[in-house]
Formats: sequence, C-alpha cells, structure tokens
Amino acid sequence: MLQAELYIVVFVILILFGLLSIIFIYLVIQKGIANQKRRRIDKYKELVSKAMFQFLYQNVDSRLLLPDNPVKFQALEEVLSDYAKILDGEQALNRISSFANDHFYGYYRERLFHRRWSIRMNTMYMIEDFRMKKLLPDLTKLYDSNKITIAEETQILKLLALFNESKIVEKIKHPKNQLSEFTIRTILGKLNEESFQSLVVIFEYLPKPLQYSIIDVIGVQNLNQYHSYLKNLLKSKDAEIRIRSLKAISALGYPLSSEEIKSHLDSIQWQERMMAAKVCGVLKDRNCLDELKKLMKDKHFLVRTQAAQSILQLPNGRAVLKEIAENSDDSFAKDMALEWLERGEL
Amino acid sequence: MTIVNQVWLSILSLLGGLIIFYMAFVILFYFFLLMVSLIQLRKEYQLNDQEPYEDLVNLSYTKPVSILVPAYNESVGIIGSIRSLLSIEYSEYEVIVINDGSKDDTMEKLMNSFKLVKLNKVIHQKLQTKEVKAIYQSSIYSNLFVVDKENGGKADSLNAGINISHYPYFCSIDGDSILERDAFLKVMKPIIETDDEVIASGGSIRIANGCDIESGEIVKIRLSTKPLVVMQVIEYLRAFLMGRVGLSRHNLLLIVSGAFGVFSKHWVVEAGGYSHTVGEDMELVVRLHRMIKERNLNKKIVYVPDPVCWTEAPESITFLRRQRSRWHRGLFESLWLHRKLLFNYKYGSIGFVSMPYFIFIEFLGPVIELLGYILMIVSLFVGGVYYEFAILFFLLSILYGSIYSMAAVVLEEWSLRKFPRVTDIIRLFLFSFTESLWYRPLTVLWRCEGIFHLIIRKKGWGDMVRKGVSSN
Repeated sequence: MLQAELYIVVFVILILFGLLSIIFIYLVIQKGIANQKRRRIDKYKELVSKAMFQFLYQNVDSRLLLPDNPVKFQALEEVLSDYAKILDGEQALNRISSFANDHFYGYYRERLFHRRWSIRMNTMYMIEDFRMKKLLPDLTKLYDSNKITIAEETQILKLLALFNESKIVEKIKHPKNQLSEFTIRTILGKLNEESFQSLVVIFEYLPKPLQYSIIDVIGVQNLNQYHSYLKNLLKSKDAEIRIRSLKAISALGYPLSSEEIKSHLDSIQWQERMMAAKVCGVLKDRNCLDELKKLMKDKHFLVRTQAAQSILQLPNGRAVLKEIAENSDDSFAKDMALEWLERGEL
Repeated sequence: MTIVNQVWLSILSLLGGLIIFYMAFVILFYFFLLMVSLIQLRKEYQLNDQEPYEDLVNLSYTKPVSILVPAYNESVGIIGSIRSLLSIEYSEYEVIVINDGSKDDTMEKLMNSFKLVKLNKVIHQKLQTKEVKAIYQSSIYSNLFVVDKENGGKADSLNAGINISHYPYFCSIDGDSILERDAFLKVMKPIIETDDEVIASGGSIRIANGCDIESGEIVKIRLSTKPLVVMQVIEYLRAFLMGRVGLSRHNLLLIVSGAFGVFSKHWVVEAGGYSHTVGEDMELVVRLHRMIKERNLNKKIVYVPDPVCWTEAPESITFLRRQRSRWHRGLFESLWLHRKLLFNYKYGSIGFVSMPYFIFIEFLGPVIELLGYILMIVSLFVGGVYYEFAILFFLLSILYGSIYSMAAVVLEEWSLRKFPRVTDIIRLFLFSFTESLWYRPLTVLWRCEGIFHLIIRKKGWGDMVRKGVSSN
C-alpha cells in the first residue's frame, strides 16, 4: 500500500545522507587545511612584523616583505592592517598605501568583483584601511553595477568620500538605496571640508535625513566655522532641526545669548526643553537659572534630570540645588536635586 | 474479523495517514528554512571579524546600553558573570544587577566584591514592580548598579531594571552566562545602522559545558564529552542556525532568547514591559510584534547569528527533563495569551505564518510525534500492511531528526565555524546521526509531559541547580 512512498523516502534519505556526508567530508578536509594554514600565517606574522615596522618607519626594505605565496600574502595583509590601525602620521600612512598599491592592487581589483558578498566587503574594508586611491575607478565601476546592497553602497560612498571623488556630493544626494541617518553620518564624516561646505550651501534643498545628519556632524566633529549657521537654524520651523542644532551647539560650546535660549527653554517639545537646558549648563550661563529652576518641576522626567545637571554645572550651582532640595514645594524637584547633589560627589 | 476490529484498523490507517502527511509537510517546511539559512549564512561566510564594527566603536553615535542581570539565589556564579560583563567591548554601557529578594548570600557577595554605596536615586516608575528596597552603585566601577528588591520573579526584576536604567536600549542577560567580548557590538549593529527601525535584536545561545573558561571568558571552544550535552549542542545549532535565520529574514521571529537580546526601552515600555509568565522573553516578543501590527509601525525584530552568549546546559536527564517541560509550558502560555492572532488577517504574516508555525509545529509537533511512535509500535504488533506504516514513520523520523541535525552541523561548518578542533566537529556530525534513535524520542516525551502538566495544572517550574560556568 505504501510501497511507493517508502521507496521515495528511502531514496530521499539516501540522497540527503550521501550529499551531507560528501559536503561534510569536504568541509572537514578544508578545516584541516585552514587550521594548518592559519598556524603558518601566524608564524609568518611573527617573523615579519618587525621587518614591516622598519619598512614603514625607516624605509628599510626586506625580502620577507614579498608576498610570493598565499600564506605570506595573508600574513602581510594582516600585519599591514594592524599597523594601519595603530600608526599615525602622514609619512607612515603613505608608506602603507604604497606598500598595498605595490603588492595587493591586482588582487583587490579582482576580489572587488567577487561573486560572494563577504569577499567584496572585506576587500573594501582593506581598501579603506590602506587608503588605496588607485582603486577609485574600480570602485565607481562597482557602484555603477546593477545590484549593490546597502552595506556595499555605504562602504563605496565612504571610500569615494575619503578619496574626494568628483561626483560624491551628487551621489550622497541621490543614493541608490535608502540610507539611514547613521550611515549618512559615517559617510559625511569622511568628506573633506570643501565637499562638506558644498552640501551645507544647498542645505535647504536637501532631504530631511541628510539635513539632520549634517547638523549632527557639525556638532560631533566640532566644526566651529558653522556656529553662526547653527544659530540661524534655531529659527527653523522644524522642531527636529532646532533640537539637533541645540545639541550641536552644546557640543561646540559656542555662546548663545540668554534671549536666544529662552524661547527653547519653554518649547512645547520636551526634547527641545531638555537640549536647551543642556546648552545652559554647558555655557555656564547664570542668566538661565530661573528657567532651569522652573524646569526642575517639568512634567517630563528627562527634562528634570537635565535641568538638575545643568544647574550643578553653573557657578555656585551646588548651593542652588541644596536650596531646592531643602525648600522646594515640589517633591519631584526635591528628589531630583538630592540625586544630583549626590552624583556630583561621586 | 469483527466489526470492532475493522473500525480499529481503519482508525489506525486514517491516523497513520494523517501523521505521515503532517511529517511530510513539516519536513518540507524545514527544508525551506534550511535553504534560506544556507544562502543567508554563506553570504557572510568569512566576513572580517572586526572591520564591519569599526564605525560603531569609534563614532560618538553609538547607542548606550543598559545590561540587566536578574539574580535570584545566584551566589555561585554571579560575581564571575558580572566581572565578565564589565570587560565587554562597547563604548558606553551600564550593568544593572537586580537582586530579586535572594535567600542566599547573593546580596552580601555583591556588597563586598564591588564595594557598593547606597544611592538616593529617583526612580522613573515607567512599569509597576514590587517594592524596590534600595539602589546601590559600585564605588569601584561607576557603571555598575545593584537594585535590591522584594521577590517578584524574573519578569518583575527585569521591569525594575528597566525603570532605573539610564540608557535607551537594554539587554537582558541570564545571571550565569558568558558573553563574547564583541557580542554587544555585533548584536547592536542592526539597531544602530537602521536608525532604530530594529527594536529588538537577539544573538545566538550556545552551550558552554566543555569549553575552557578563565575568569569569565571563553578561552577555548570545545565540545563536551557527555553525549547528552553534545546532543543539546546540536539541538541549539539547529534551532538557531536553521530556524531563526529563516524566520528573522522575513520578520517572523517570535523568539528572542531571554538569555541574550537587546531591546529598545521606549517600545518595550510602550508595550507594557515584561509580564509575569513562564516564558516572559517569548511573550514580550509576541507582544511587540502585536503592537507593531496593531499600530502599523515600520519596526523589525531580528536575529544575528554571529554574536554568541555561552550558557550552562543541564548535564543530567533529570534537569534536562524539567527544563524542556518548563520551556514547553512557557511556549504554550505565550501562544495562548495571544491566540487571537492566529489566522487573523489584521496581523498579516505573523497571524498566518509565525503563529501557525509555533502552534502546529513547535507546540503540537511532539504530540503528533508521540502518537506516531505509539502507532509505530502498535503497527508492528498488528502486522501485515501496517509494517509498512511503521517503517515509513521510522524513516520519516530519521529524515526529520537525524538528517536535519546533520544538516545543521554542516551549516555551522559551512558558515560560522565556531569550533576550532576537527575532532569536535566530526563528533558532532556522528552524534547528530543518532538523534532520531534516542534523543529525539526523549525530548518528545518530555515536551508531552509539559503539556500533560499544563492539563493537570501543575504549578512550580522546577529550578536548575547551577554549578556556575563562570565561577571566579
């Protein structure tokens, strides 16, 4: 009755069993080989590390630095990448690039178009570590190819920004995939001053995520030259732009008059009140004190916390907090003042 | 042949047919998941281990995380676990230990080891919890806090931890497990990179028994010598690599392991925090999915295979049996609470794929398998054409158990390659082939026992005695 089914299942089991066993044996052999290769690579890395250092710093070449087999190749790549992460200084970085250009260029060119995603990605990470501008044409070619994932697009744009590619601003404006703000920020972070400036000039025509990212980057990278620009943005109708600008201003520590801050201290958006309170603390502006005291009773927990912290940063702020802790009629404000008095001690 | 006999035999045939049909369907479904995983995992095979995370380490946009460690009578391993958490690789985080009214010396140990100082901290009571007695901060590590509270269970502890946490994301970690140093970066990556579109992200759980552990860190990954542990290792590989990769890809994942998952505090509070159930981790994820669908949010819950949290597995049959029985009851509670979602068009793929999968395959699977085993034995006695049924069922269970477990081991070697030693991987493969012959039937029995306990409403969840994988 069930004979046909039985045969089918036996057949399927045998096929799968055979297939899995073959793949397994292949993987085990590969693992054996890979483990052995890894040991050899580690050994060679030890041997070559000093020679590489001498090459990078004293320009002493050595026969050890010739990648004439796959083990040596990988060992040298790893050693160089380790140095690229710890070394500073234009000269050392240039040496690293030139070494990579001399020995890895051809290989990377191929790997950039490898079938497997992880290999393409790894190659691009190395290109970034070694600043191999020579591969720029290939990177643009990869960018223009039909299908690239978000991760690839991000990495390519980062590299194009790093290498000052001529159309980078256009590409950031019109990405192929929808990029997250985090991604845009990492790309903007690699742009040179000129390209960044050209984006700021067309700020109002840019999509929101790009606008927000630009403001964030100004704050994080301490781009002081844009402080008056940020001040203008505080007048924006978009609350998010105001909040981010306040955040950037607090990061720059750039002075703002009390009048300029006050409207934000009683904004209807709690995030805006919080950020404005933060700016008061950073600027150590005692003119804000009354408003900050008011914010100690704010209905939002995080605003109260920030207000207390900012008061503590003001000259003679401790005394004010003590006063609130002892005499305030608001229990929220009292507790918060107590907490920050204690935190200030730790 | 009497009529009664004939009726019996036709019932046998019908049931047998249904079981065979069910097994075949499940096998095909798993085959689909296997294929998705195969492609997905291979894509990332040998991706550089550090480079993709560099931007996350260096930039000041990385999101700070609060690590919540609920502890109830965990005096054996707790200090070691906390020390290992204090050395993870992440730019900004705090560790919050919640002492859930332990009866042993957990609190004293914490006090002495970390020189705790009592704080006058204001609690932002976002979620209701049992009374918090005091909050302490370590005077050695400024990012270590301890909450001392009345006993209220794991969910209650986690909620208390959420209330006092300072950061927008939190991670729940079991008191006695070990995180790989870079696990946090890896599990946070999807959250950071998508600007919070991902609201929960979970990593893999693996078994630490057998590994070399020194001062709260896995030094060398090895396979235990005990067959029962080896089988669990395979089971975890299968559940995570085969099951979750496939489900996560289509935002169908209903489980983020309580032992290692990062959640967005805002959304968890919106959803009401943890609720007091046996499987509070799964229940929360189902509720988050529900909220996503009900409010039509563009949010995701994902699984990241690479970062691993190493945890201690039971080595004796007694504790393993209790654990499985408990897990199965936990699974039931979450599914029962949210039964409304099943085949409800409002919940889209969650209602039509995830819920049916968890109910009919994960939850009811063992019952049908058990029926199959019984029928197989009965058929052998009845003889005749029923022999064929017995053989067919046996073969299908080999396919379903052993072959897929072998596939899971191959998948691991094909992608993540966490086991360095060749002999370990060979042992895994050989053991996986024996799964259908002993381990699978045992777990089926235990899970059915869980269902049985549900029916007779047995209370008390059965604790596991810990040796402490990370003792100092």
